[in-house]
Amino acid sequence: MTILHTTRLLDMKTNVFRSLSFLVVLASSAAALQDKLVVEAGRIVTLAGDDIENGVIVIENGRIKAVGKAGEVQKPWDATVIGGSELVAFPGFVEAHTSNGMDRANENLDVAPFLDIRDSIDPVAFYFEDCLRYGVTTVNVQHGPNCVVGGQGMIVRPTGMTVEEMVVRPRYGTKISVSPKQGKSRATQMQQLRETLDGLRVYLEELIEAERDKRGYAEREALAQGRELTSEEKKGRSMEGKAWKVDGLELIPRGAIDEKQAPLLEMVEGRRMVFLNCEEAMDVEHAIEFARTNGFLEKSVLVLDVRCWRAADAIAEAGLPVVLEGGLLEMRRNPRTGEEEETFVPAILADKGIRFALSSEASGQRSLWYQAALSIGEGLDRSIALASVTTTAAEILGLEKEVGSLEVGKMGNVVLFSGDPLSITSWVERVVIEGREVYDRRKDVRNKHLLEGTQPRGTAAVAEAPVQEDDHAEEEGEEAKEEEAKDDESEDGE
Amino acid sequence: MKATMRSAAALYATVLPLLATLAQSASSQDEILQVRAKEVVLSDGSRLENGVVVVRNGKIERVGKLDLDDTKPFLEHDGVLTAGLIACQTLSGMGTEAHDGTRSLLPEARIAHAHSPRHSDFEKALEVGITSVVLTPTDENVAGGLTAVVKTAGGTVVAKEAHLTLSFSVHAFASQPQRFGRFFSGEDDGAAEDGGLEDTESDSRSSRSPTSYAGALLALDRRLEDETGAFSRAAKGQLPVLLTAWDRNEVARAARFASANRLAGAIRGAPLAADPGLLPLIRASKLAVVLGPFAVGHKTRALEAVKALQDAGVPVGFALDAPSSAPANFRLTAALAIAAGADRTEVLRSMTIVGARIAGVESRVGSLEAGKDADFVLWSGDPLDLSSRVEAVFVDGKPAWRNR
Amino acid sequence: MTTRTALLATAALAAGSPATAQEDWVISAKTIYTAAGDPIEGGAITVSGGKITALRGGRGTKLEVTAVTPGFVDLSAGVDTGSSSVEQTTETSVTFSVAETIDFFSHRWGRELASGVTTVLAAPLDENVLGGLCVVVKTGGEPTLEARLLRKDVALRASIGTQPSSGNSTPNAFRENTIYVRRPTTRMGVEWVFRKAYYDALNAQRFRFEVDADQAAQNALLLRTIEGDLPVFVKTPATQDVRTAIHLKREFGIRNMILDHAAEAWKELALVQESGVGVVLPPFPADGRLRDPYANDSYFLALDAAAKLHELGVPIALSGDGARTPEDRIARQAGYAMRGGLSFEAALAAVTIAPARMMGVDDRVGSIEVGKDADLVLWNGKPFEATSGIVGVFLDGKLVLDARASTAEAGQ
Repeated sequence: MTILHTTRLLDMKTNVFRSLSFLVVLASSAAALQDKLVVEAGRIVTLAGDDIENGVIVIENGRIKAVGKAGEVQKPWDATVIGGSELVAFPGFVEAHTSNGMDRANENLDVAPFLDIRDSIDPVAFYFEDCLRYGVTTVNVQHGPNCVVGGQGMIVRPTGMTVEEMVVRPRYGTKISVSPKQGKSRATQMQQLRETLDGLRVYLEELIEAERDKRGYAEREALAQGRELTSEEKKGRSMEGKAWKVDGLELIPRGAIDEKQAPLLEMVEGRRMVFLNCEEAMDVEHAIEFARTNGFLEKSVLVLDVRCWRAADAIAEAGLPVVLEGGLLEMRRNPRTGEEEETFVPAILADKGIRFALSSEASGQRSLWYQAALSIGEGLDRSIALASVTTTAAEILGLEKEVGSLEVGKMGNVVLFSGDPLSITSWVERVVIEGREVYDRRKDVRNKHLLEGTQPRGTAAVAEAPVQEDDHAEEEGEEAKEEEAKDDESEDGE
Repeated sequence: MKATMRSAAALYATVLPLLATLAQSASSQDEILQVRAKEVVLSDGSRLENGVVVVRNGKIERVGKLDLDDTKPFLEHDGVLTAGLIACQTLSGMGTEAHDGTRSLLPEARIAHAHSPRHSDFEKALEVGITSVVLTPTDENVAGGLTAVVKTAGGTVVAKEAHLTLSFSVHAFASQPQRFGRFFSGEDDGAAEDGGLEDTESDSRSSRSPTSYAGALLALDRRLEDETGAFSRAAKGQLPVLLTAWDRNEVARAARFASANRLAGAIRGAPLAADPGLLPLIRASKLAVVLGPFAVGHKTRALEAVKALQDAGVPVGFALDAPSSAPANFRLTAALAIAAGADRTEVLRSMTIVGARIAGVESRVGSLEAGKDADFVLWSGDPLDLSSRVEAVFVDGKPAWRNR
Repeated sequence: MTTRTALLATAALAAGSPATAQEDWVISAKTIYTAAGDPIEGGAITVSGGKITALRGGRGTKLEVTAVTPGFVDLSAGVDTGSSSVEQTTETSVTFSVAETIDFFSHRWGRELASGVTTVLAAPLDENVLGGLCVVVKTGGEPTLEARLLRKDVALRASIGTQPSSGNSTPNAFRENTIYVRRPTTRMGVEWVFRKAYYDALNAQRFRFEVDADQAAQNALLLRTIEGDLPVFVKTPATQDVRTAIHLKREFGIRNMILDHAAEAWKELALVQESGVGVVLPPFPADGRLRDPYANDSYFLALDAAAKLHELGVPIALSGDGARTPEDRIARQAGYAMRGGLSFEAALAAVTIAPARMMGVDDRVGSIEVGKDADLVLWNGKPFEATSGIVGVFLDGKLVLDARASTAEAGQ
């Protein structure tokens, strides 16, 4: 956007021309024309108050500018308008944790906090396509659970051809697994976790000591690692550890800290989100203890398998939020009676006041809306169920001001459904991410295939009238002849 | 001549000369032995203090609180005397002869021909007080053959053809153990021999018909129409059957088969016989049940089956299942059953007279009654108490084993 | 209440004494979906003596729910006892009946009840081309055939495709000669076995051949499928299997044929329609692909398959295939079929009265009508909706599943 000033006219003597007149021209870049979007819907579910009948959402520069009834909201004349009265608008769903959409979820290395998921995310993965299909507009991608300390994750929008286009929050969160990595026992897993952070402390202490001996270390170290020191990194800063700290860290510019240790330092200073993977209830207590001892309890999120409901009291007491993976029901067989028992876990979490988000991990491709719907059927309160895939999930990711509901100021992430968002017969028709329409079901070829399949060549389309039963049609040949005759008029069905 | 002994330890020293004495008098006299024990336990559970058993020519002549005839050989035992124990199922002494993999239906095969009387399995059985056993084939044939009742010493065959064995177990079927266990696989749900959950598929690799429950039932139905042979005798009620079944659905099928065809005999296996769905079927079939052997770690619901069957009036016998099960488990079976609530007297009866009845040989063995074979055991204490020792075992009136 | 245990039929219902009489119930619901006409709003069902005695109020223990449907009928529930459910020494075990071989003690009956299925078809495993006779049984009650049997020997089970030939191998000098070294080893072999059985039966009839008793019994059964009263229930997962089955139907004049697990029947709409076969669809996979466990192949089940077939008048039924997770159970399949365009009424019929009719047990089950068995599924919302859950199941007039307080309603 450029502002052109016209200079005052030369040789003007009248008062009228004494004032400077500015001509402000908004030079429109190609994107600015699309920066205004109006979404119309027969009903808008805002999740921030009552539903709005015959509503309108105005999105400008990626943010919601207005939400309200059609007659009460002013639509910019130069906005693109999408939607229709047969559609229902809903906030984009928020996937609070996933390890999909990337190349292999874990590295062989047990402790790899320096890995960055940006190197592994695949923008054209089917998972992101399916996110759009099911209205998921914000995704927190983290490393997988098969590690001791995994790498750094990222919050992304599931649209874009490059990772850069997808990024919402880079270098977001570090994955830790309390459940043992494949091949390890719990004892060795915990020991390695402790060792990792003890190793951090030792490293820092040694670093400080070395610095006390010689200065100029910072520049040399950064050079060696091929990095430039940013202004923040050039400065030293004392350690802010909540549970433990070392003295003298202000002597070391942040940029000089080994990039393998830097994320751990941020973690211990409570400046990184930590996603703790727990598969058994016993792991939960270890996770809480580990987080507390190392000062990142307030930044921790538990990623739980269904079996962990047994640790609900400990979770509630620690006040930690939960992402529930592995489904909604814990199923087990009573070894004495042989009967099958099911425990609906979200209800237990809700009862104890634990904030939780659901995950699409266990539902194949039926995704978050389906998990929320199933939960309601199992008896979970409707507002809690909806929140667990929108506002609560956003809150867990620190994005409560950005996504999760349709409110002025939040990102313009809107999903348009063909009917009630939780009905089995409703489809996602359109998806808008930050004011841009990124999905239209009418153009979704894979969805069409799923719904209708592809008619193979040679098989007839449905005849207008039922064909008379042919008594002698014993051989395949006869059948093939009939089909060949019809082939000319039949479509491929594609 | 007088021959007296006071202590069990001296038994050895005095029995040999006793035998010598007997031998001297063999040609001219009957062989007589009198045994007085501190406590003689009879088959109805009653106990005779200082009871005496008189043996003549290998048979029991009299039992009671009698006076000893000093002129005849006698021995005094400072402990308990019971009838010899009867095991209603075992594979003792048969090695690999218990299983024929070539055909599934072998109703005329006589197991009596398969055992070696001098095999050490029998001595091991003797050590725990077992004097008669029912030899059976494995449960890997739908009709495995005809069982035999043999003594564990002396090689006497008490009954050459005691039962026709039929297997309702999935072990009788050929199967390729890949990809077949589907959603309702009975094997997954069923009872392993210890009453726990079965977790292995049958690994019998023989490929013979039938391979399914339906096929087996069809084959059995057809054979029961035979005019001669073991099946026809069973159908006429002349030959009892011994049906092996483990899973609840197998036991149910076996019981119903017996009821429908009016077959008499027993079910062997049935660790979950106490299941409320099974008990009425078993009762209606009028079959007895052969349970065990139990070992440490057996599931409680299997142990409770003994009591449940007793309460329902179903006769119970115990299996030995040597050599895969240690013979000592026979006594452990009784102890575990009692710990799970079974009646003591009834358990002892199951190990003796009821076992004999199930084996079809109660006219000859199983209790201390005049006319029966002189098979009895000298114990250091109550036989149901695991801390009691077997001091000596007599078979057909002769000392067959003694504790050294 | 968050932990739910399906009351095992044996524990809950096995009556020790005749004194445990059937209870009387009056179940009122916002909507009763009878599958026999329009839904009844604000009505009540009276249950007595195991039957539905009235569709209005009456006397009995009162129960109030949001919606009621008939108990579900699943023709493809995977009821078997593993490999001992099929006679593997032959591919044609036509006269074998599964009736006596069902394991009524299996814990999986509880699972079926929890998913609302009150009636199932038990069939021989599909390792044989002609497997034998199927029976229709209830999923609860005393664990005996007498107590649970609805109808015996209702259909002849057949299987076309890869499954019957899997496990068979060709003769080979280095391979042990077992019963599995035999034909068929291919699809054409499977079809050959099927045709031979029928061919022999028809020839024996026509030329009055002398055959032994077993063969005669087999021939008689096969002729019954032609002359009318015995349906053939044939598993046909792939398109070519559907075609093969229909060609065989035509060749031998088999009167009544129902295709099971017919995932690709939608690819041959005209053929299926004009042949008059019924179709039972397997559960809808999320990505549409059903992998063939016996061959390196997969089949595609389009989401609108049920809708398309129904539109053409083809009798359809849905199935749960013994699904373990609640997402895959039969009630969810009705929802997915609706997602693919099937109407609610047709979806309801496809899990109740239509399968009952296919197997000739619709005089007893499949709809809520006076005189029929009191097999009911109670809901806390509109049935088959994603947000609705099953809160209770009645079988033969007894409440066998009581998941939670029946008056709780799904968040509406």
